[in-house]
Amino acid sequence: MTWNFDVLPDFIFNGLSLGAIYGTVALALVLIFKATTLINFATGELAMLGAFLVYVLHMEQGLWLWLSMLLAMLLSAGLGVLIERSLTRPFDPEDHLPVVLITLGLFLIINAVAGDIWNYQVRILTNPFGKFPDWVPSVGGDRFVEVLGSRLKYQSIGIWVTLAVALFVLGLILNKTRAGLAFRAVSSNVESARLVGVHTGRTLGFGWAIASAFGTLGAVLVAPQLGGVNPNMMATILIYALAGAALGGLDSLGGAVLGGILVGLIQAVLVTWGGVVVFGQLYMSILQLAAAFLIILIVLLFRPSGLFGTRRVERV
Amino acid sequence: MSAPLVVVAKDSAEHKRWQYVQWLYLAGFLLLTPLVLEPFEIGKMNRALIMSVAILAVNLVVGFNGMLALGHSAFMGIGAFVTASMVQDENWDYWQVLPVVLIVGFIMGVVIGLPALRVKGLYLALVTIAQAAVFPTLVNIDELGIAARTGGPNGKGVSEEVIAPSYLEWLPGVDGARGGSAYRYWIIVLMLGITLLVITNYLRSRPGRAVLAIRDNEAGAAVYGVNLPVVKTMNFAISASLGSLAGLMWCLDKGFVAGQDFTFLLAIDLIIGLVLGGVGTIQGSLVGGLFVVWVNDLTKRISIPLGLYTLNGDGPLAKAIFGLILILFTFFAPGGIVSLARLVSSKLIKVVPLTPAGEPIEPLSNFDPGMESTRADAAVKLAVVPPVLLAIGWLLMSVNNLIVGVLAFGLRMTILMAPVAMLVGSNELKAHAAGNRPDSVQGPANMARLLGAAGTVFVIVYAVQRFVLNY
Amino acid sequence: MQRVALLEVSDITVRFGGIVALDDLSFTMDEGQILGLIGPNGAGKTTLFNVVSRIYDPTTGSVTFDGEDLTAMSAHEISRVGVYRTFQNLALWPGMTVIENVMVGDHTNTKANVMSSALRLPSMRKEEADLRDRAWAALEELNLTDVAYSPAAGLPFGTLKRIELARALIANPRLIMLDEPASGLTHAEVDSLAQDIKDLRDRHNLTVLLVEHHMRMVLGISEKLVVLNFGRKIADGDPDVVRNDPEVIEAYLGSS
Repeated sequence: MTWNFDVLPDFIFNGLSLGAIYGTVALALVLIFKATTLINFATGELAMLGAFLVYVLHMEQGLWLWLSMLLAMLLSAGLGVLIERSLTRPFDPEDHLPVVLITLGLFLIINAVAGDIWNYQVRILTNPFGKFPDWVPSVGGDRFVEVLGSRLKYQSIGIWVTLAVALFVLGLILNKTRAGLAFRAVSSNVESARLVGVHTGRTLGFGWAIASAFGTLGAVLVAPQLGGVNPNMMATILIYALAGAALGGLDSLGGAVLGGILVGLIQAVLVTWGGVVVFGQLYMSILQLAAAFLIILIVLLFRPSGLFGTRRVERV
Repeated sequence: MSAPLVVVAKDSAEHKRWQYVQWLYLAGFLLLTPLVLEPFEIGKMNRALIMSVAILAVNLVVGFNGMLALGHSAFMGIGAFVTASMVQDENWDYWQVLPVVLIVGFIMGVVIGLPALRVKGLYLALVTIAQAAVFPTLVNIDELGIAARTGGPNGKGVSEEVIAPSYLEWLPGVDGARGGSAYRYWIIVLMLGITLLVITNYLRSRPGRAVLAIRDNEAGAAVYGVNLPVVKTMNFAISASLGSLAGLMWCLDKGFVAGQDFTFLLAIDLIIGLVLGGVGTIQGSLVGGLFVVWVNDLTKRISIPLGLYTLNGDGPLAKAIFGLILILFTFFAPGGIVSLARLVSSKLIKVVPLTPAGEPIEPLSNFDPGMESTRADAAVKLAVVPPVLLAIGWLLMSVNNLIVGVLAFGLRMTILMAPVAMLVGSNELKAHAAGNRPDSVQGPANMARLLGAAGTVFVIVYAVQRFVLNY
Repeated sequence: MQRVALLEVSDITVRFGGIVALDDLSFTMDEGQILGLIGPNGAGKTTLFNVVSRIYDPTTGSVTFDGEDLTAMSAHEISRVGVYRTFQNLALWPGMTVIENVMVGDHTNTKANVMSSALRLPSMRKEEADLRDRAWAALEELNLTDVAYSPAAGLPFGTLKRIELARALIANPRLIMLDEPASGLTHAEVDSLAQDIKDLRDRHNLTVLLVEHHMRMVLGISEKLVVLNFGRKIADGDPDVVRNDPEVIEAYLGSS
């Protein structure tokens, strides 16, 4: 078996676009972790629900795709606030077990409800970046452009642009609005934030809201890669996102995005492309998930705070 | 809070009598299961007891050490596949595989636990959740002979069935139609019993107290010489080892293992069993195992009549119910079923501990309500409950085969009621003899003692009768 | 006879980011002494405790106990040389009974391991029975036997403070560091606590490092005082001399 360098750019492009999606979901995890030091295990299911909302609004009700996405993100943000207010706020955030149990319970309920409404079959959702729009001059095809002799898909470009826009908006929200400022205060120190009069509960709700909206965005972006939406669509994505969040540092927003992208690259380049040489192509999908697990273990062994984490990790 | 009905000194004759009665009932329950139930129901009971072992394993980490471990399905899977492979491919005996499985589980526990437990925070949750998600895919790897050993996507069967050797055929239930599952039931009960004994000993001694101390206050534990990462990792490895044991039992019971049996959903089932039963209690693990299997089974059967979507007979209903249970219990009964049971039993009986000199730590008379006591009357009412409950249970059994649940419910209630009535009766008579009760107490007290004894005897006779009928 | 210093704190500096919590602190303690460490809030008293019990790493400096360098040890090793402490806000284990709390106090000097415990080997049973008796004796000494089998959760604050003391006593400590033992206690309780500390010191040959805001108590039982202000030592020596030191008075009453 020889190393086929001609296809390497393909794998890199692929890894970068997968990674951008992991980064989006990892961002949803970190937004909640940063404020509460909790891992929200229902992140994936909330995102899946958001994707189904898009499915209902766009495919069933015929709304414009981008408007459906915006509405779905707003609705899941509302759901996030509702969950925070009703289910997690009564518990002491220092005591992890109850809130983890609540999010696990939500994971089960949302999955079950979606399963009962939409069954467990894959439903096609329009790819927001299926074809170049008409105003783009054709350079190679209507679904891709040629770069370095490889096909750079419109889909990938679309994902990157969307993520960049979303990150820009997030940056604006966090830096320019009162709620964003309060959120940053709460996530750096809950006690001091409370002392200076920040309403911590409302602020955590705000964190849940943006997290849910970002999760929904990630789910809609990943759907075309999975052939559509289904209730179990986020199961493996969540594991990659967890690995990305751990790699980037659980308390770093930028780290989450970069960590997610790195995980996507590792998955596509090291495991799939490099792995072709070592094992046999057929089994790569198996090792991809194992790679996520190994990344988490390796990060814990050598750099528990992640690549970009700032929190001083306490040795015990 | 009202005073408990009966107050006994620890290790006094009355306290011992109370314990004997409990043991007697437990023995009755264990004996009845293989005699009364259908083979497929014994199989369910086996599954429940195996889940109990696995839940106990999770409990060691989550309940007793305060660390979040969410991936014990993988340890069960490792135990199950090692067992299947050694028994099927190498012709080992299950008993020979046992130490191997325990050691393999222990090593896996160290490998996964050490990096995660070195640092503070939710990192163990992170690693274990990934471990649970990855495990089912790992068994399909073709290289290194893994898929050949595990059977890959097809799963691995053990062709030789576990049947009783001739010298063990006297075991209750081990004959004829239900022989196989009943024999496996007894093996599982034996393993579970030994596990409970060993784990209880561990938790109630120096290393176990260190584990609890870490859960309650890490800084305090360190100041008193507890080496935090070592104790945590050791405890996690013991837990992983126990999880692998549950895997061995799974393989022994089902004779077939496949990757899709050990997914993240199994890991969640274990967490649910833990919460349902009671986090941080040994009895909770037992109760949790029974309930998880029972609820799973119940929802599978009512999904289709309710018109709910099902996939392979395994619908979303069980998940929804479990999710709801998780949230409701976290809100309203964080101590699980066991804490509710303890609440009830604390109203019934109080055991006063002893000083090293053997005296009760507080005089029993501190709990004595004196001349105005109405306990004798209450005891009479209590004494009537067990036979009535048992009769209802009997009736229900003939119309419905939710026997496991009814048996467990009826017997558990009975264990509490009849002997308590008996004890209250004799206590009140004793208090009367000492001049602490009016003469009017004598009638009800005698009646309570009589009815309580009759209720106890009734249950025993019932058990013996079932035993004789089926044996 | 020349007394040899048991605890020697030399040039300890602790910085958190830009904040200096302890600034070049040095003092010594003799065996059998009761040393009162006082100073206004935020002076760095608890920080020093956390350095000695290895919860914090000092930026510079060293702590020597009976010739051994404590700063080279990790938190769980400190108890091996006989150094124990109590906590300002309690560090009991509420999920265990009081007697079990006290039994864990002697974790360092007991040996039972996982194997011997799981199998209840004779050696472990003997040790366990002995440990239980000693825990009972420690509870008896502090008048706590009536709560011995109650869960530690939910007992009154004063009782909990005494349980912490019993837990430290069972291990036969050489140095015991008490972090505000009188806080939250009534006047009568404070007086009896002061007497208890003296009695325990005499009976168990303890050396006591005491952090306390309750001045009457500190001055009543301390044989030496060290006064901190903003992480710096401003006075050190005989209590009667130190209490009249102008800098000390200024630190307590405020300048100008």
